[in-house]
Amino acid sequence: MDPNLFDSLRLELRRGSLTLAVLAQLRSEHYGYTLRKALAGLGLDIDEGTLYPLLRRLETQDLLTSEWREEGGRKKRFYKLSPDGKQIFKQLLAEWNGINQSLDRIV
Amino acid sequence: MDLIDRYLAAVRRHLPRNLQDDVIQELTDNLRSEAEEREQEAGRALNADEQSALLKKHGHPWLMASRYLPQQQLIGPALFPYYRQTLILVLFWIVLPITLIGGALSAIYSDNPGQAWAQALGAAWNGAIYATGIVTLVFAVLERERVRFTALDKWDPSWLPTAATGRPVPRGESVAGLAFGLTFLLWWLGLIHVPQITSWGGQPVRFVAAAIWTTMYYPILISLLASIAIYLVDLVRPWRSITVSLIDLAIGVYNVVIVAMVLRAGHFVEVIGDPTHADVLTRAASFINASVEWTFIVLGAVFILDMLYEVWLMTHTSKSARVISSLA
Repeated sequence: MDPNLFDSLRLELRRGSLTLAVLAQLRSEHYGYTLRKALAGLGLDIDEGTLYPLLRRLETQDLLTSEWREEGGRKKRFYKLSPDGKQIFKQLLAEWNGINQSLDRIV
Repeated sequence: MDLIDRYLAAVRRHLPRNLQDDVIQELTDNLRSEAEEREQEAGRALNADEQSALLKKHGHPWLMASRYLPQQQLIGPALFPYYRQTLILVLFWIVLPITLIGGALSAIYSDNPGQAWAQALGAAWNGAIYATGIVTLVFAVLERERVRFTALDKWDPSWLPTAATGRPVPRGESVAGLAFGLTFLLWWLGLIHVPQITSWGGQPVRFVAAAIWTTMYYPILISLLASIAIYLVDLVRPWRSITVSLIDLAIGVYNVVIVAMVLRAGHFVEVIGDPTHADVLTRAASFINASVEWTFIVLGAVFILDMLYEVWLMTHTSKSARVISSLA
Protein backbone atom coordinates (compact mmCIF):
# COMPACT_ATOMS: atom_id res chain seq x y z
CA MET A 1 0.00 0.00 0.00
CA ASP A 2 1.18 3.52 -0.80
CA PRO A 3 2.53 4.93 2.49
CA ASN A 4 1.31 8.44 1.53
CA LEU A 5 -2.21 7.27 0.80
CA PHE A 6 -3.51 7.79 4.33
CA ASP A 7 -2.01 11.29 4.53
CA SER A 8 -3.49 12.25 1.19
CA LEU A 9 -6.98 10.92 2.09
CA ARG A 10 -6.78 12.55 5.53
CA LEU A 11 -5.89 15.87 3.94
CA GLU A 12 -8.86 15.55 1.58
CA LEU A 13 -11.18 14.68 4.49
CA ARG A 14 -9.97 17.61 6.59
CA ARG A 15 -10.01 20.27 3.89
CA GLY A 16 -13.75 20.91 3.86
CA SER A 17 -14.11 20.39 7.60
CA LEU A 18 -11.51 23.08 8.34
CA THR A 19 -13.47 25.68 6.38
CA LEU A 20 -16.61 24.78 8.31
CA ALA A 21 -14.74 24.96 11.63
CA VAL A 22 -13.24 28.36 10.79
CA LEU A 23 -16.63 29.74 9.76
CA ALA A 24 -18.19 28.38 12.95
CA GLN A 25 -15.51 29.87 15.17
CA LEU A 26 -15.77 33.24 13.46
CA ARG A 27 -19.37 33.72 14.56
CA SER A 28 -17.47 35.69 17.19
CA GLU A 29 -14.60 37.97 16.25
CA HIS A 30 -10.99 36.70 16.23
CA TYR A 31 -7.66 37.59 14.75
CA GLY A 32 -5.54 34.90 13.13
CA TYR A 33 -3.45 33.82 16.06
CA THR A 34 -6.27 33.66 18.63
CA LEU A 35 -8.45 31.85 16.14
CA ARG A 36 -5.80 29.18 15.69
CA LYS A 37 -5.42 28.85 19.44
CA ALA A 38 -9.17 28.65 19.97
CA LEU A 39 -9.50 25.89 17.38
CA ALA A 40 -6.52 24.02 18.82
CA GLY A 41 -8.08 24.33 22.28
CA LEU A 42 -11.18 22.63 20.91
CA GLY A 43 -9.09 19.81 19.48
CA LEU A 44 -8.64 21.00 15.89
CA ASP A 45 -5.06 21.85 15.05
CA ILE A 46 -4.57 23.86 11.88
CA ASP A 47 -1.09 24.80 10.83
CA GLU A 48 -0.38 28.47 10.32
CA GLY A 49 0.51 28.09 6.67
CA THR A 50 -3.02 26.80 6.01
CA LEU A 51 -5.09 28.97 8.31
CA TYR A 52 -3.92 32.47 7.47
CA PRO A 53 -4.26 32.14 3.69
CA LEU A 54 -7.63 30.38 4.23
CA LEU A 55 -8.89 33.46 6.09
CA ARG A 56 -7.87 35.62 3.13
CA ARG A 57 -9.61 33.38 0.65
CA LEU A 58 -12.83 33.31 2.68
CA GLU A 59 -12.69 37.08 2.85
CA THR A 60 -12.26 37.44 -0.93
CA GLN A 61 -15.27 35.13 -1.28
CA ASP A 62 -17.21 37.66 0.87
CA LEU A 63 -17.82 35.11 3.61
CA LEU A 64 -15.79 37.07 6.16
CA THR A 65 -15.28 40.72 6.94
CA SER A 66 -12.11 42.04 8.51
CA GLU A 67 -11.07 45.12 10.40
CA TRP A 68 -7.66 46.41 11.48
CA ARG A 69 -7.57 47.45 15.15
CA GLU A 70 -4.83 48.15 17.61
CA GLU A 71 -4.63 45.79 20.55
CA GLY A 72 -1.71 45.11 22.93
CA GLY A 73 0.36 47.81 21.22
CA ARG A 74 0.12 46.17 17.79
CA LYS A 75 -2.26 46.43 14.87
CA LYS A 76 -4.24 43.23 14.41
CA ARG A 77 -6.66 42.13 11.75
CA PHE A 78 -9.92 40.89 13.26
CA TYR A 79 -12.17 38.61 11.24
CA LYS A 80 -15.82 37.72 11.65
CA LEU A 81 -18.60 36.15 9.59
CA SER A 82 -20.22 38.45 7.02
CA PRO A 83 -24.01 38.28 6.40
CA ASP A 84 -23.29 36.09 3.34
CA GLY A 85 -20.96 34.00 5.48
CA LYS A 86 -23.69 33.44 8.07
CA GLN A 87 -26.05 32.22 5.39
CA ILE A 88 -23.49 29.91 3.78
CA PHE A 89 -22.43 28.64 7.20
CA LYS A 90 -26.04 27.65 7.99
CA GLN A 91 -26.27 25.75 4.69
CA LEU A 92 -22.90 24.06 5.15
CA LEU A 93 -23.77 23.10 8.71
CA ALA A 94 -27.02 21.49 7.54
CA GLU A 95 -25.06 19.62 4.88
CA TRP A 96 -22.46 18.54 7.43
CA ASN A 97 -25.14 17.29 9.82
CA GLY A 98 -26.79 15.37 7.00
CA ILE A 99 -23.51 13.71 6.05
CA ASN A 100 -22.75 12.98 9.70
CA GLN A 101 -26.13 11.34 10.29
CA SER A 102 -25.78 9.27 7.12
CA LEU A 103 -22.26 8.19 8.08
CA ASP A 104 -23.46 7.22 11.56
CA ARG A 105 -26.02 4.93 9.95
CA ILE A 106 -23.53 3.58 7.39
CA VAL A 107 -20.45 3.01 9.55
CA MET B 1 17.11 42.13 12.49
CA ASP B 2 16.06 38.80 14.01
CA LEU B 3 15.04 35.62 12.19
CA ILE B 4 11.35 36.58 12.19
CA ASP B 5 12.15 39.87 10.42
CA ARG B 6 14.29 38.03 7.89
CA TYR B 7 11.50 35.49 7.33
CA LEU B 8 8.94 38.26 6.79
CA ALA B 9 11.27 40.03 4.35
CA ALA B 10 11.69 36.79 2.42
CA VAL B 11 7.91 36.20 2.27
CA ARG B 12 7.41 39.80 1.10
CA ARG B 13 9.75 39.24 -1.86
CA HIS B 14 7.55 36.39 -3.12
CA LEU B 15 4.24 38.24 -2.81
CA PRO B 16 2.57 40.34 -5.53
CA ARG B 17 3.15 44.06 -4.89
CA ASN B 18 -0.53 44.79 -4.16
CA LEU B 19 -0.64 42.19 -1.35
CA GLN B 20 2.75 42.79 0.25
CA ASP B 21 1.96 45.41 2.93
CA ASP B 22 -1.34 43.93 3.99
CA VAL B 23 -0.18 40.31 4.23
CA ILE B 24 3.12 41.13 5.90
CA GLN B 25 1.46 43.32 8.50
CA GLU B 26 -0.95 40.54 9.41
CA LEU B 27 1.70 37.84 9.33
CA THR B 28 3.98 39.99 11.51
CA ASP B 29 1.32 40.20 14.17
CA ASN B 30 0.57 36.48 14.03
CA LEU B 31 4.23 35.49 14.28
CA ARG B 32 5.01 38.02 16.98
CA SER B 33 1.96 36.94 19.02
CA GLU B 34 3.07 33.35 18.82
CA ALA B 35 6.67 34.19 19.73
CA GLU B 36 5.54 36.35 22.67
CA GLU B 37 3.39 33.60 24.07
CA ARG B 38 6.28 31.17 23.95
CA GLU B 39 8.53 33.74 25.57
CA GLN B 40 5.99 34.18 28.39
CA GLU B 41 5.88 30.41 28.88
CA ALA B 42 9.70 30.19 28.92
CA GLY B 43 10.16 33.38 30.95
CA ARG B 44 12.88 34.60 28.57
CA ALA B 45 13.45 35.69 24.97
CA LEU B 46 13.48 32.95 22.35
CA ASN B 47 16.93 32.01 21.11
CA ALA B 48 17.78 31.59 17.43
CA ASP B 49 17.07 27.83 17.45
CA GLU B 50 13.64 28.33 19.00
CA GLN B 51 12.78 31.09 16.53
CA SER B 52 13.97 28.86 13.74
CA ALA B 53 11.71 26.01 14.95
CA LEU B 54 8.73 28.39 15.11
CA LEU B 55 9.34 29.64 11.56
CA LYS B 56 9.87 26.17 10.13
CA LYS B 57 6.31 25.31 11.18
CA HIS B 58 5.05 28.08 8.90
CA GLY B 59 6.85 26.62 5.91
CA HIS B 60 9.37 27.96 3.40
CA PRO B 61 8.86 31.70 2.69
CA TRP B 62 8.11 31.01 -0.97
CA LEU B 63 5.52 28.37 0.00
CA MET B 64 3.96 30.66 2.59
CA ALA B 65 3.71 33.50 0.04
CA SER B 66 2.27 31.23 -2.65
CA ARG B 67 -0.57 30.19 -0.31
CA TYR B 68 -1.74 33.81 -0.29
CA LEU B 69 -2.07 33.95 -4.08
CA PRO B 70 -5.66 34.17 -5.31
CA GLN B 71 -5.34 31.14 -7.61
CA GLN B 72 -4.34 27.97 -5.78
CA GLN B 73 -4.85 25.53 -8.64
CA LEU B 74 -3.76 25.95 -12.24
CA ILE B 75 -6.74 23.88 -13.39
CA GLY B 76 -9.22 22.80 -10.72
CA PRO B 77 -11.28 19.60 -10.54
CA ALA B 78 -14.33 21.21 -12.22
CA LEU B 79 -12.40 22.09 -15.39
CA PHE B 80 -9.88 19.24 -15.36
CA PRO B 81 -12.04 16.65 -17.24
CA TYR B 82 -12.60 19.20 -20.04
CA TYR B 83 -8.89 20.07 -20.06
CA ARG B 84 -7.86 16.42 -20.29
CA GLN B 85 -10.36 15.71 -23.08
CA THR B 86 -9.28 18.79 -25.04
CA LEU B 87 -5.64 17.80 -24.69
CA ILE B 88 -6.35 14.24 -25.91
CA LEU B 89 -8.34 15.63 -28.84
CA VAL B 90 -5.64 18.10 -29.84
CA LEU B 91 -2.66 15.74 -29.40
CA PHE B 92 -4.07 12.46 -30.71
CA TRP B 93 -6.62 13.61 -33.23
CA ILE B 94 -4.96 16.72 -34.65
CA VAL B 95 -1.18 16.72 -34.02
CA LEU B 96 -0.67 12.96 -34.50
CA PRO B 97 -2.72 12.57 -37.74
CA ILE B 98 -1.12 15.69 -39.24
CA THR B 99 2.30 14.23 -38.37
CA LEU B 100 1.49 10.86 -39.91
CA ILE B 101 -0.07 12.28 -43.07
CA GLY B 102 2.55 15.03 -43.43
CA GLY B 103 5.40 12.60 -42.72
CA ALA B 104 4.07 10.02 -45.18
CA LEU B 105 3.57 12.61 -47.95
CA SER B 106 7.01 14.15 -47.33
CA ALA B 107 8.63 10.70 -47.31
CA ILE B 108 6.92 9.75 -50.59
CA TYR B 109 8.08 12.91 -52.33
CA SER B 110 11.52 13.12 -50.72
CA ASP B 111 14.83 11.74 -51.95
CA ASN B 112 15.61 10.86 -48.35
CA PRO B 113 12.49 9.36 -46.69
CA GLY B 114 14.30 8.73 -43.37
CA GLN B 115 15.26 12.37 -43.06
CA ALA B 116 11.73 13.45 -44.07
CA TRP B 117 10.24 11.29 -41.29
CA ALA B 118 12.77 12.62 -38.78
CA GLN B 119 11.85 16.21 -39.71
CA ALA B 120 8.13 15.39 -39.43
CA LEU B 121 8.64 13.84 -35.98
CA GLY B 122 10.71 16.84 -34.86
CA ALA B 123 7.96 19.18 -36.04
CA ALA B 124 5.36 17.00 -34.29
CA TRP B 125 7.30 17.17 -31.02
CA ASN B 126 7.41 20.97 -31.22
CA GLY B 127 3.76 21.04 -32.25
CA ALA B 128 2.79 18.83 -29.30
CA ILE B 129 4.66 21.07 -26.85
CA TYR B 130 3.10 24.25 -28.27
CA ALA B 131 -0.37 22.70 -28.38
CA THR B 132 -0.08 21.48 -24.77
CA GLY B 133 1.15 24.90 -23.68
CA ILE B 134 -1.64 26.77 -25.44
CA VAL B 135 -4.40 24.44 -24.18
CA THR B 136 -3.01 24.62 -20.62
CA LEU B 137 -2.79 28.41 -20.80
CA VAL B 138 -6.37 28.73 -22.04
CA PHE B 139 -7.69 26.48 -19.25
CA ALA B 140 -5.58 28.26 -16.61
CA VAL B 141 -7.19 31.55 -17.69
CA LEU B 142 -10.65 29.92 -17.59
CA GLU B 143 -9.88 28.66 -14.07
CA ARG B 144 -8.67 32.07 -12.97
CA GLU B 145 -11.86 33.66 -14.30
CA ARG B 146 -13.89 30.87 -12.64
CA VAL B 147 -15.54 29.92 -15.92
CA ARG B 148 -17.63 26.75 -15.65
CA PHE B 149 -18.97 24.71 -18.56
CA THR B 150 -22.63 23.85 -18.21
CA ALA B 151 -23.45 22.44 -21.66
CA LEU B 152 -23.03 18.84 -20.47
CA ASP B 153 -25.34 19.44 -17.50
CA LYS B 154 -28.24 19.64 -19.93
CA TRP B 155 -27.83 16.12 -21.31
CA ASP B 156 -30.85 13.88 -21.42
CA PRO B 157 -30.43 10.13 -20.72
CA SER B 158 -33.11 9.42 -23.34
CA TRP B 159 -30.55 10.48 -25.98
CA LEU B 160 -28.49 7.39 -25.17
CA PRO B 161 -28.74 4.87 -27.99
CA THR B 162 -30.25 1.50 -27.22
CA ALA B 163 -27.85 -1.40 -27.57
CA ALA B 164 -30.16 -3.22 -29.99
CA THR B 165 -30.35 -0.42 -32.57
CA GLY B 166 -27.09 -1.23 -34.26
CA ARG B 167 -23.42 -1.97 -33.85
CA PRO B 168 -21.16 0.30 -31.78
CA VAL B 169 -18.64 2.34 -33.74
CA PRO B 170 -15.48 3.21 -31.74
CA ARG B 171 -15.10 6.97 -31.50
CA GLY B 172 -11.41 6.64 -32.40
CA GLU B 173 -12.38 5.05 -35.72
CA SER B 174 -14.72 7.94 -36.55
CA VAL B 175 -12.31 10.70 -35.51
CA ALA B 176 -9.37 9.11 -37.33
CA GLY B 177 -11.49 8.64 -40.47
CA LEU B 178 -12.71 12.20 -40.24
CA ALA B 179 -9.18 13.59 -39.78
CA PHE B 180 -7.82 11.65 -42.76
CA GLY B 181 -10.90 12.41 -44.89
CA LEU B 182 -10.75 16.15 -44.21
CA THR B 183 -6.99 16.32 -44.84
CA PHE B 184 -7.36 14.46 -48.14
CA LEU B 185 -10.30 16.69 -49.09
CA LEU B 186 -8.26 19.85 -48.45
CA TRP B 187 -5.45 18.45 -50.61
CA TRP B 188 -7.90 17.42 -53.35
CA LEU B 189 -9.41 20.93 -53.37
CA GLY B 190 -5.90 22.40 -53.66
CA LEU B 191 -6.10 24.14 -50.29
CA ILE B 192 -3.00 22.40 -48.93
CA HIS B 193 0.10 21.50 -50.90
CA VAL B 194 2.73 18.81 -50.58
CA PRO B 195 6.35 19.20 -51.69
CA GLN B 196 6.80 18.46 -55.42
CA ILE B 197 9.54 16.32 -56.94
CA THR B 198 11.54 18.68 -59.10
CA SER B 199 14.35 16.41 -60.25
CA TRP B 200 14.80 12.81 -61.33
CA GLY B 201 18.13 11.10 -61.97
CA GLY B 202 19.80 14.50 -61.66
CA GLN B 203 17.55 16.04 -64.36
CA PRO B 204 14.96 18.75 -63.69
CA VAL B 205 11.45 17.34 -64.24
CA ARG B 206 7.85 18.39 -63.73
CA PHE B 207 4.94 16.05 -63.08
CA VAL B 208 1.54 16.86 -64.57
CA ALA B 209 -1.71 15.02 -63.79
CA ALA B 210 -3.04 12.96 -66.73
CA ALA B 211 -6.48 13.59 -68.26
CA ILE B 212 -8.12 10.86 -66.14
CA TRP B 213 -7.94 13.09 -63.02
CA THR B 214 -9.95 15.84 -64.74
CA THR B 215 -12.60 13.26 -65.60
CA MET B 216 -12.56 11.80 -62.08
CA TYR B 217 -12.29 15.08 -60.15
CA TYR B 218 -15.98 15.39 -59.19
CA PRO B 219 -16.64 11.65 -58.69
CA ILE B 220 -13.73 11.50 -56.21
CA LEU B 221 -14.89 14.74 -54.55
CA ILE B 222 -18.38 13.23 -54.08
CA SER B 223 -16.84 10.06 -52.61
CA LEU B 224 -14.79 12.09 -50.14
CA LEU B 225 -17.76 14.21 -49.05
CA ALA B 226 -19.93 11.11 -48.62
CA SER B 227 -17.27 9.36 -46.50
CA ILE B 228 -16.81 12.45 -44.32
CA ALA B 229 -20.58 12.64 -43.83
CA ILE B 230 -20.67 8.99 -42.67
CA TYR B 231 -17.82 9.59 -40.20
CA LEU B 232 -19.66 12.64 -38.86
CA VAL B 233 -22.86 10.63 -38.40
CA ASP B 234 -20.85 7.89 -36.62
CA LEU B 235 -19.30 10.50 -34.35
CA VAL B 236 -22.62 12.05 -33.38
CA ARG B 237 -24.46 8.69 -33.14
CA PRO B 238 -21.83 6.09 -32.28
CA TRP B 239 -24.23 3.16 -32.90
CA ARG B 240 -24.44 2.32 -36.57
CA SER B 241 -27.95 1.50 -37.77
CA ILE B 242 -28.65 -0.86 -40.69
CA THR B 243 -29.52 2.19 -42.86
CA VAL B 244 -26.14 3.84 -42.21
CA SER B 245 -24.36 0.51 -42.82
CA LEU B 246 -26.17 0.13 -46.16
CA ILE B 247 -25.25 3.70 -47.17
CA ASP B 248 -21.64 2.94 -46.20
CA LEU B 249 -21.72 -0.20 -48.33
CA ALA B 250 -23.11 1.81 -51.27
CA ILE B 251 -20.24 4.30 -50.87
CA GLY B 252 -17.85 1.32 -50.82
CA VAL B 253 -19.26 0.01 -54.12
CA TYR B 254 -19.05 3.53 -55.61
CA ASN B 255 -15.39 3.77 -54.48
CA VAL B 256 -14.54 0.40 -56.07
CA VAL B 257 -16.10 1.63 -59.36
CA ILE B 258 -13.95 4.79 -59.16
CA VAL B 259 -10.83 2.71 -58.55
CA ALA B 260 -11.70 0.46 -61.51
CA MET B 261 -12.21 3.48 -63.79
CA VAL B 262 -8.90 5.02 -62.72
CA LEU B 263 -7.07 1.72 -63.24
CA ARG B 264 -8.65 1.28 -66.68
CA ALA B 265 -7.12 4.60 -67.77
CA GLY B 266 -3.68 2.99 -67.21
CA HIS B 267 -1.89 6.34 -67.41
CA PHE B 268 -1.90 8.74 -64.49
CA VAL B 269 1.03 11.16 -64.64
CA GLU B 270 2.88 12.95 -67.48
CA VAL B 271 6.55 13.69 -66.91
CA ILE B 272 7.85 16.84 -68.57
CA GLY B 273 11.53 17.67 -68.84
CA ASP B 274 14.51 18.05 -71.13
CA PRO B 275 13.71 15.96 -74.29
CA THR B 276 17.42 15.24 -74.82
CA HIS B 277 17.20 13.02 -71.71
CA ALA B 278 14.23 10.98 -72.92
CA ASP B 279 15.48 7.84 -71.13
CA VAL B 280 15.33 9.61 -67.74
CA LEU B 281 11.83 10.92 -68.48
CA THR B 282 10.64 7.48 -69.54
CA ARG B 283 12.05 5.83 -66.40
CA ALA B 284 10.47 8.49 -64.18
CA ALA B 285 7.08 8.16 -65.92
CA SER B 286 7.22 4.39 -65.72
CA PHE B 287 8.07 4.42 -61.98
CA ILE B 288 5.48 7.02 -60.99
CA ASN B 289 2.69 5.45 -63.06
CA ALA B 290 3.47 1.98 -61.68
CA SER B 291 3.44 3.42 -58.12
CA VAL B 292 0.04 5.05 -58.66
CA GLU B 293 -1.32 1.87 -60.24
CA TRP B 294 -0.22 -0.28 -57.29
CA THR B 295 -1.54 2.29 -54.84
CA PHE B 296 -4.97 2.06 -56.49
CA ILE B 297 -4.86 -1.72 -56.60
CA VAL B 298 -4.20 -1.76 -52.84
CA LEU B 299 -6.86 0.90 -52.31
CA GLY B 300 -9.41 -1.18 -54.24
CA ALA B 301 -8.52 -4.24 -52.13
CA VAL B 302 -8.94 -2.17 -48.94
CA PHE B 303 -12.39 -0.96 -50.09
CA ILE B 304 -13.50 -4.52 -50.85
CA LEU B 305 -12.18 -5.87 -47.53
CA ASP B 306 -13.84 -2.97 -45.70
CA MET B 307 -17.18 -3.82 -47.32
CA LEU B 308 -16.82 -7.52 -46.42
CA TYR B 309 -15.97 -6.52 -42.83
CA GLU B 310 -19.01 -4.22 -42.70
CA VAL B 311 -21.26 -7.08 -43.93
CA TRP B 312 -19.73 -9.41 -41.32
CA LEU B 313 -20.32 -6.83 -38.57
CA MET B 314 -23.93 -6.29 -39.72
CA THR B 315 -24.73 -9.99 -39.57
CA HIS B 316 -22.82 -10.42 -36.30
CA THR B 317 -24.68 -7.50 -34.67
CA SER B 318 -28.02 -8.76 -35.95
CA LYS B 319 -27.39 -12.09 -34.22
CA SER B 320 -26.46 -10.31 -30.96
CA ALA B 321 -29.53 -8.12 -31.24
CA ARG B 322 -31.73 -11.19 -31.75
CA VAL B 323 -30.20 -12.81 -28.65
CA ILE B 324 -30.82 -9.64 -26.63
CA SER B 325 -34.41 -9.43 -27.91
CA SER B 326 -35.07 -13.06 -27.04
CA LEU B 327 -33.75 -12.50 -23.52
CA ALA B 328 -35.85 -9.36 -23.01
